[in-house]
Amino acid sequence: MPRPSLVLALTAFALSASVAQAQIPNIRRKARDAARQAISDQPRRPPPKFDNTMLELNPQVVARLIKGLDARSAMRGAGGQTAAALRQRSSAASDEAASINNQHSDDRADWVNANGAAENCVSEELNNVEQRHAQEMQQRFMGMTGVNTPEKTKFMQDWTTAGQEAQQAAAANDTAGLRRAQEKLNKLMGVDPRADSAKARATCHVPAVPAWMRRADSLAAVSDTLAVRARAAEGAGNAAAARAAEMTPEQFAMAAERAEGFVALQAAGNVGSGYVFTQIEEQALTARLVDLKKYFG
Amino acid sequence: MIGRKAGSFIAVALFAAAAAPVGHEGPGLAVRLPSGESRLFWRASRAPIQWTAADARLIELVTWHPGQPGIEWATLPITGQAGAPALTLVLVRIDPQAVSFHLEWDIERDRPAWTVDRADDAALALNAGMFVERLPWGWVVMDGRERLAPGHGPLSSALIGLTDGRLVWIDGDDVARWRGRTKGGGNVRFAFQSYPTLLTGDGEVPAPLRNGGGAINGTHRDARLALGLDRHGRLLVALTRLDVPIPGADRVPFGLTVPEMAAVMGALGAQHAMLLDGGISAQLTIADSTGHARVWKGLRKVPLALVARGGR
Repeated sequence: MPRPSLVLALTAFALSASVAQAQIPNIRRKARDAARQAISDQPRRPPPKFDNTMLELNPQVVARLIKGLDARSAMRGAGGQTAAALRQRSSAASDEAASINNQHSDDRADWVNANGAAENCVSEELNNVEQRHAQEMQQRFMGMTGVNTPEKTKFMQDWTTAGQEAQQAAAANDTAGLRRAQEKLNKLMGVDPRADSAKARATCHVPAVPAWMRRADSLAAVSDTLAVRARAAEGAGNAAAARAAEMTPEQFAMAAERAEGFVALQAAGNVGSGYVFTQIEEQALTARLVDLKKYFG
Repeated sequence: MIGRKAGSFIAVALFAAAAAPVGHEGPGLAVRLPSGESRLFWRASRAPIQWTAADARLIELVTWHPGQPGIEWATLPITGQAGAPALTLVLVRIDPQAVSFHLEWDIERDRPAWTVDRADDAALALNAGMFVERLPWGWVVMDGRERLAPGHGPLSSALIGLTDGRLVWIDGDDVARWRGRTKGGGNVRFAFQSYPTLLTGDGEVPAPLRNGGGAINGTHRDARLALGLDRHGRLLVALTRLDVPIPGADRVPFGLTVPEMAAVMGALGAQHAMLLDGGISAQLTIADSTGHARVWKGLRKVPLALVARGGR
């Protein structure tokens, strides 16, 4: 049988514990009240200013905004795809390119170094070839002094004509004409630039682009093209959305931005403490929160 | 030459004007002093059309803390009138020769995915550019590769990072000269555009920001994030945060107007400046000198970020 003092002590402990338990809600309530008081002690802030760009998001405007958001999400860009689908495809291509590049990160660095060295070598080789052609041309002209033959005369006439064509094309910024004249001069001198280039590249062992690199670079290019198309679809979608919402593009952009802010703030637990939205707006946006989360959630 | 007596008089007059509370002459901006008073540094009715130097009334109250090498940061309490509440300015200035900048493109499936939480090893990271729906509005070049073509609008600016680490600031939307330098052999490593331009030329405030009307809403208050370049070639960042004792208030998208943000950048000594996407997008992280991350989060994931890491 427990001693009376122990019974008293246990009873007292049980009582004090239950009192403490009972006090916890009071403490919580007091903390809540203090927080409320802190908020209400804030100097009153002026309500958001509405103007021709910033419309009050009352129930009617929120309904129009949702119509616009709906039109925007349904808008199809080039190839009949929505901006979201184009972004997703762009992202998938970019991820695949990144994955390939990650698997070959050292290989790419090695290839870039080898290719850089080889291209320097090619440049030197082509300089040497050019010097050799210049020397050959000089020797040929020197060999033409003395007796004139019909062949020599024809060569000089052709050379002079092609040279004049090249000068005229250069003066007129006619790149195609310049290229044609240069080809004539090369032919007269027996120069084949393609053969020279191929020979130089073979001599310098220019590395071929590996298949994986070709694939990664191609995917990156596809990703960029799709991103450009997605952005164009976004632009077209915003214009269509503004029309559907019966707003100017600026009004729609501002309304969408503020509604997205409301959804984000609501998820974070504070919808702006009256700085961002009026009470009418808070009520209107809260009433359509489920719809808004489809676009901004 | 101004004599000592006249100089003293002017100094007193300036001090008197500066120490006065934000008064009744229309919107103004002031630094909140520890004494509870405020020091005015800008007033809309007497706004300069050009900032030729940093404003001592603001800059001498900034205490810069060392971040990672080449980066300094500070916070500055400010206030205003006509609806401008108590705010904290988060300021960063960066020596571009001491860090390496990168753009990060972060889209998962069809949605932007970058937040400052993804930049835990960065010396500095912030959202870059302006986002219209999900994608960046303007030009984006990453690692010498153009990902998005330039956007067009007279009040846009661009920041270009060259392969040698130098930064180039472009006022306006004509980036044609630089576009050709993004492919093999080119020296453009990264680039992005944003809008509106806050300061152009040599610290000039663009006319649409001074005169109101047009495409710029001069009265809308929002959380702001601005980027600028000062006359020493340093990059400047300024972020506003609402500073009221309400849980979660620091992320509430409420703060300065566009002209007020131009004044902040001008007073900090920026020669060129532009806004980046603010509101719920604005976010910034800085590693302090011990490597600890100071973080100002946003509420929206973004597709593009500017990240600085130590060393070149």
